[in-house]
Amino acid sequence: MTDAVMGFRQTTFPLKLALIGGIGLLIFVILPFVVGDFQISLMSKLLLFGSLAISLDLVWGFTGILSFAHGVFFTLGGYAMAYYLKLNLSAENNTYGIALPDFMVWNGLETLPWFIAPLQYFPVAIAAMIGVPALFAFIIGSFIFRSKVSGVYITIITLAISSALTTFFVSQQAYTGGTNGITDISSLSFFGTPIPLVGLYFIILAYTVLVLAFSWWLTQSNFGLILRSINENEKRIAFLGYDVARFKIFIWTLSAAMAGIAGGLFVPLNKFISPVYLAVAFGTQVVIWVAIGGRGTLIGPLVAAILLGQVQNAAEKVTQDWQLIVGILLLVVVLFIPSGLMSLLPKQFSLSELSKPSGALRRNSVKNASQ
Amino acid sequence: MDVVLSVKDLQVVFSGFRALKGVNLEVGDREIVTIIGPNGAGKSTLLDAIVGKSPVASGHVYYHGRDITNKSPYEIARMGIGRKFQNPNVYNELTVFENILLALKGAHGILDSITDKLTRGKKAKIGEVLERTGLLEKAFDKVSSLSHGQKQWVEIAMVIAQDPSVVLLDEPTAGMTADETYMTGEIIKSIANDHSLVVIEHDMEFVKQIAQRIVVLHQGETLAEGSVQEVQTNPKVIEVYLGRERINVAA
Amino acid sequence: MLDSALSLPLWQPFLLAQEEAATETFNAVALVNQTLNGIGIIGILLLTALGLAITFGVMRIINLAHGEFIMLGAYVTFLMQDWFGLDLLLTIPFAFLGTAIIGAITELTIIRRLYGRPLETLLATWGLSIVLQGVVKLIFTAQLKYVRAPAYLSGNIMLLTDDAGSPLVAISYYRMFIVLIALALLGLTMYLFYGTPWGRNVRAVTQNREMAKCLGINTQMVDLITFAYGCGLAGVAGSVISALKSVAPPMGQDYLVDAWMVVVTGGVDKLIGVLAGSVLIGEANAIIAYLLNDPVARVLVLAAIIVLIRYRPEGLFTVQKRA
Repeated sequence: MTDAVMGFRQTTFPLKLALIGGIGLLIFVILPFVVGDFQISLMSKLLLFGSLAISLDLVWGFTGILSFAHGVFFTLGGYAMAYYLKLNLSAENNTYGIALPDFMVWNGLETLPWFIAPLQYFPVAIAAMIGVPALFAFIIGSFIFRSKVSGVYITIITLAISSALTTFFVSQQAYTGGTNGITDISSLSFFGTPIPLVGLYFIILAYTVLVLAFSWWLTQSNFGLILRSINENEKRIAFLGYDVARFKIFIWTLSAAMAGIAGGLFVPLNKFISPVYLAVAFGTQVVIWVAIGGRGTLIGPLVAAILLGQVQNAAEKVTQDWQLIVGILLLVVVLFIPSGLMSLLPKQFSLSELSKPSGALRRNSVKNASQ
Repeated sequence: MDVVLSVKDLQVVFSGFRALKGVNLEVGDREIVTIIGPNGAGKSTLLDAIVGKSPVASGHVYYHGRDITNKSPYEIARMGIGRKFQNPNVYNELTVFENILLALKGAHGILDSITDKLTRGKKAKIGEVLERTGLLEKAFDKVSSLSHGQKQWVEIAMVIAQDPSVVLLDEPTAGMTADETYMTGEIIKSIANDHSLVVIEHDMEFVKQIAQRIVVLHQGETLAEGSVQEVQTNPKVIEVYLGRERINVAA
Repeated sequence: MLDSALSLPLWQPFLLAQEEAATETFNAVALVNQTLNGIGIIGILLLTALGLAITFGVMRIINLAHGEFIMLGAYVTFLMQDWFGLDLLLTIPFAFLGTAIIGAITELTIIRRLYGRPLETLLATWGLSIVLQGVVKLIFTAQLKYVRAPAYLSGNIMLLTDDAGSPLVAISYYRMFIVLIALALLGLTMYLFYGTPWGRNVRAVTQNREMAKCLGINTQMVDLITFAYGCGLAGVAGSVISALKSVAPPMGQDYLVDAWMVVVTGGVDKLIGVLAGSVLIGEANAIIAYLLNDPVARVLVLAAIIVLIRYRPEGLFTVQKRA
């Protein structure tokens, strides 16, 4: 009688999902050989934005923490990489004769600040790219999630963080490049040879696939179940013995690290980073990608980021008022498609359906087993 | 008999309103203590205070001799105190199976949840609980699709799966039919073979079915204590219930 | 939209004596001056946050387009000056009405549909803010527009001058005007909410909607008028502020975060909280800015607010809720 229960398997290889994923991946692999450099660059950027959106989906879509601060984590990682690239080329590139980035020279600095100097070494830069956003998130998370603060007030705190950091980075002109940020950044090099755009594209594609796969695996496990429970009713699960704050801090920190890496990869592509990406407007953009794509769907936010990015790109050429179009689109989606674009797909294509192992338990088999 | 859970002079205050005015209670090993009393007497508040949901103004809660007053809910749950809430407090968006899986006794840390495998042992335990509470057929249905009574069963199943040494049940038969009520009583009696129970109830027939020792709460204080017979004939208790259905009327 | 998010606090250009306090020495006169500057900041904060205190504090509607309603008020004022040459004070009623009407339309078409769904409201109002900016940009272009303050409000009140007649302690008339208008509006709003039957209805609806309906209150009308009123207040704020700097589509963005901080700090239950929030944040900003500098002041004040929210999310002036 309990055969149905005994036969249930929680995480198995999802054939349908793998197939669809494989096809999608194939398209992206072929892409750079079909389109021009501009599109490759654009798609790379959008893939990174998609990864960022996925990292937000983990804390928001699954755990219910609405954060406007994910742009901050992204940008902190970006600055780490920017310093690295800038420091390693400044000796040759600048015309000032000293090994200092241009913006520092312009602001009258004479020596490299001790807290920036280590970033000239690649391992340190990578560690900072992941570690600084993660540490920052950990500190904030520990402060916030162990309190009674919930819901909209946590969101307001993330707004305040975004705003505060923007002001801070803009004001520390000598160290951060101020409003202009760090510009004129060189390409990433692999032991001396600059990595071509296509190479960077594939690195970014690999990272995005990694983020997607990892997030899927994480959320399919018991851990994902607990996150979803926290989302629905965090008090109840505490009475079952779960330290909710710890789970929140963990996923929050992990998400921040993922965002930071995306930011780091963004910099050699974009060739500049600035406090624009720290600001509330960008943080809201990430929220919009997840909202429009569909919370808790992982692939939805990725699709939304790519779609919106392409729409914006196309609209920019046609009209100066493309922002208006995006605003209208957002309004339409929120008012009429509240579960996000992914909910428009027929049920068989939803993430939960595709994630089920093939031959998943259906009510019939339960009935059969009990007869 | 060993005292497993004891409450001493417990006071709980909400913005000036004294919900509990100094309650004393002792629960022995494998004992069923039933708490009755009019609405607003503080019965649920007492359970809230024990599990760490409501802050305790003064007094103490001891579990196996340890002072657990005002500890956080998850710590108390891990120590071995499980609570079923008055209204079915279950996860509507998850399946019955998943609800029970969450509640299943075991390590509840982060690393464990990521690496845990759904072992045969776990599945067997879940299957057993499902069978015991008659939810086997509904195992993979979303809880939101269940009836009120069935949701109560899900929560009872969760508490059983949690396997705490002290089980706190808050009106477990609310909204159930007579048959379901009887079945709940039998389950409770079987649980009591190796657990201690505190049950809040209104249904006197049910209370008679399971009762060993009854505690009557009224306006935040203990009014009376004793067996069903003693409590039913206690003049103070009768006075409090006067005007409402008298407590020796069959349900 | 992205650029404006980077600009430093708007009161920066208007800090008197900042240039004059070049010396690092602790200067009583400079401190008093900075305190007065703080009052100027408080005025702006109070004015811009008042509308939000209504829409979020009272109605619990998360309106991320609040900054844009401020912006709309500024544009109405600009329009009235441009077409009719009206004195700024005369444009204020028009700004109120214009913004209130747009607020009413917003309530009818968007807010009403999303009642009880705060997240959707948040996203929809953000979309609205983008749309409003876009529409304004379409009509007026992104070019900066300028509004003239009335001549009789220009200049400064000299409280203390040095031997040469230069101002030592002073505050501009216009900033005093801002403070007075903010206080007047606060007083008016409190009277409306606590002293009139209509205010009683609003409080009934926000505390217990179903009960209010049973009592025969037209909750839909209450929602509509209250939200429109809140937007109207934002419009007045925009109208008054328009003379301080330039008028441009993204101007409202700068006020959004600060207005939220004021409302959240002061506490959402009582209207007087918005005054408390403004005073605290405004004065803290001014004093820290005097001791250190502007950006650090803003960062520190924001950090302090985060700490406050964490320990007391209900704000400073709230009714203790039963656990």
